[in-house]
Amino acid sequence: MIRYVSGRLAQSLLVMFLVAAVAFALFGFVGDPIRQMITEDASQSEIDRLREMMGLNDPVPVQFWRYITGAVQGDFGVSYFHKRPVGALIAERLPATFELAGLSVLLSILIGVPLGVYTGLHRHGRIARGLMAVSLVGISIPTFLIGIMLIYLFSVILGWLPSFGRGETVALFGGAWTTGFFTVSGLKSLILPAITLALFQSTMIMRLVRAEMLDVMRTDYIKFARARGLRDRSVHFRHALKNTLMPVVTVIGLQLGTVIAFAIITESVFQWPGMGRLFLQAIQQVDIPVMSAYLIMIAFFFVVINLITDLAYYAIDPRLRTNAVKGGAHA
Amino acid sequence: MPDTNTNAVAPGAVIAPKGRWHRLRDSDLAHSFLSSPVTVAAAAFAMLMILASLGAGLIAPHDPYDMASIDIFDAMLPPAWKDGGEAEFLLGTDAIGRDVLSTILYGSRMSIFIGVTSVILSLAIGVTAGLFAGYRGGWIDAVIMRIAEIQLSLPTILVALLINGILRAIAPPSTLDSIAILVLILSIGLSNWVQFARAVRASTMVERGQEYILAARLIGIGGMAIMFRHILPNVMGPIMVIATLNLSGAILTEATLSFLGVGVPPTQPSLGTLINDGTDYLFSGSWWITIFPGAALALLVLTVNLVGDWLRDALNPTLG
Repeated sequence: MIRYVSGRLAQSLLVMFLVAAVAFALFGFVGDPIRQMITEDASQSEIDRLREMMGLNDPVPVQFWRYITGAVQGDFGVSYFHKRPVGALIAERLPATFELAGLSVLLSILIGVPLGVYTGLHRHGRIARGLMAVSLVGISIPTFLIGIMLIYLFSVILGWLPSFGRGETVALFGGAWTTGFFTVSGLKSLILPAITLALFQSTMIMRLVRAEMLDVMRTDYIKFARARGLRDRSVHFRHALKNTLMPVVTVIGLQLGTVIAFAIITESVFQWPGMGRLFLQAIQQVDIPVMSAYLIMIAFFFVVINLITDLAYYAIDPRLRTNAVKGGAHA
Repeated sequence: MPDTNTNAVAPGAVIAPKGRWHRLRDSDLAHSFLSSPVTVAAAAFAMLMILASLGAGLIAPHDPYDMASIDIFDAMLPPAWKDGGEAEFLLGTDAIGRDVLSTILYGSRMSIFIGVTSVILSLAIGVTAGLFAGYRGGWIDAVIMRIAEIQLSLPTILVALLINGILRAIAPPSTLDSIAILVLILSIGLSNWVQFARAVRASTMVERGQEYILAARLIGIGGMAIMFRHILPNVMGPIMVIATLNLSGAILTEATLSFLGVGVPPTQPSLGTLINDGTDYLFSGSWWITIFPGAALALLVLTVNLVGDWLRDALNPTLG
């Protein structure tokens, strides 16, 4: 157990280190940290003094160390475009993205798993085949187009739901977190973006659960369970579904990361004030400190999710516990 | 290419020295193709779109980039069958009076061009990396596969956006518009190589132990020649499947990046740009400016996906 976990941890740390190196290279070499701090007519000696003061003449490892220690404390430098500390910018937008992504993942599990079980069990049924066809179409329609079509239907034609923004938000924990869950306009604003973001994920989950169910239903222990006279419900859910969970958990874990990435698109369509939009603006404006910070944040997020997924494996699959020394989880 | 594929499916099935066309027609692949009406329809539609967009200059009713032919008084006309539509503009016009059908044709050309070139780039990178990883093994393999693993755990669109951002940061600001297409191809191409590399690596490791490779090494053929002249032709089968499946993904990624405003320059729009331009007019009810390019994009991706799925199942049932 300890070896398994520590191996995973070491790998995660290595990934974080590499990402931090890339982010630092961007921050320190591609972008010029003092470019934004000086006026056009600053003399060379002023520039030199500033460089010395900011430690830009220090050896690269020293600067790298300073960048990492800053990043750990949430200090990512100052945005070129917003002229504000990047850490504060991200902290402001984090809640919006997390509420959107969290709700979407929940939705996609609630939609994807039952539909996957159903289509897996009734493979040749008319409804199941219809669902599969719809899901293929769903995968082929890009996220942003789904968002646009939802806006056109529910905001423009029907006028039921807002098409942009978060609506009214409530500040929690002394302003550290803002939430749209407690106001009507906040909840209404969440619906369309969350569905947009969840649709692609739920089709993925549905197709995966279906494929896994088909595999499992062919196995001998299902036949034996039936032969023992167990009820369908018990066979389907206690025996079959339980054993499809391994890959499903991995994929849902990975989906969490994907959702954060696809949130960039959804946030752009719905002008959602989240991290994704901040990052997108940073790319458009070549705002390097924000890009570097987002890179580190997202890598951290992915590493944590992967780690949790691996540990969840460990909890679900008893085989791992017996020969855990091999660190057996496949990637 | 056709006969390598047929060989892969049915080695030695047709021995009689017939013409290529006959061999193709009698092959399992062709049979499987013709017995799937959905695939035939999808392939026909995809071909139609590709040909139409390639011939955009010839068949488009208007030239949307010829400023002289655009009349602002034609702006925002609905499709021809709606009230106020004109027969001259079948799918209506956009905010500056361009014919939507023509912009779609030119836009698809840009989308398909970027999609195809970036898949070729991914293929070149992935195949090379896979050959080296599989043939050389050791630390080269370890490094390449570790990078691949990290990249694979990140969504393509995120990697493409990051590479896009980094390239934009490195490039001098004044050149951004002129190199935008190159930046786009690089960012999509670099974000998609992993699948190729993994497939090629796996097959290369199998081929490496084969006798013909040992024989080639014995007579002193160099590593590069063995990898690219001897192993490569034998691992191309799955690569074509992955390339087809990746094409739809690449077209989607391009559309998304262009939609997000970090793709093609506004002067050379792709389908994604057109959709993005159209969203501004959605609220005034001019849905056709957005929905038609969107439908074109979705149909293109769907048909390419269907062909790719079929190809995967037909060539190698275990690949999926």
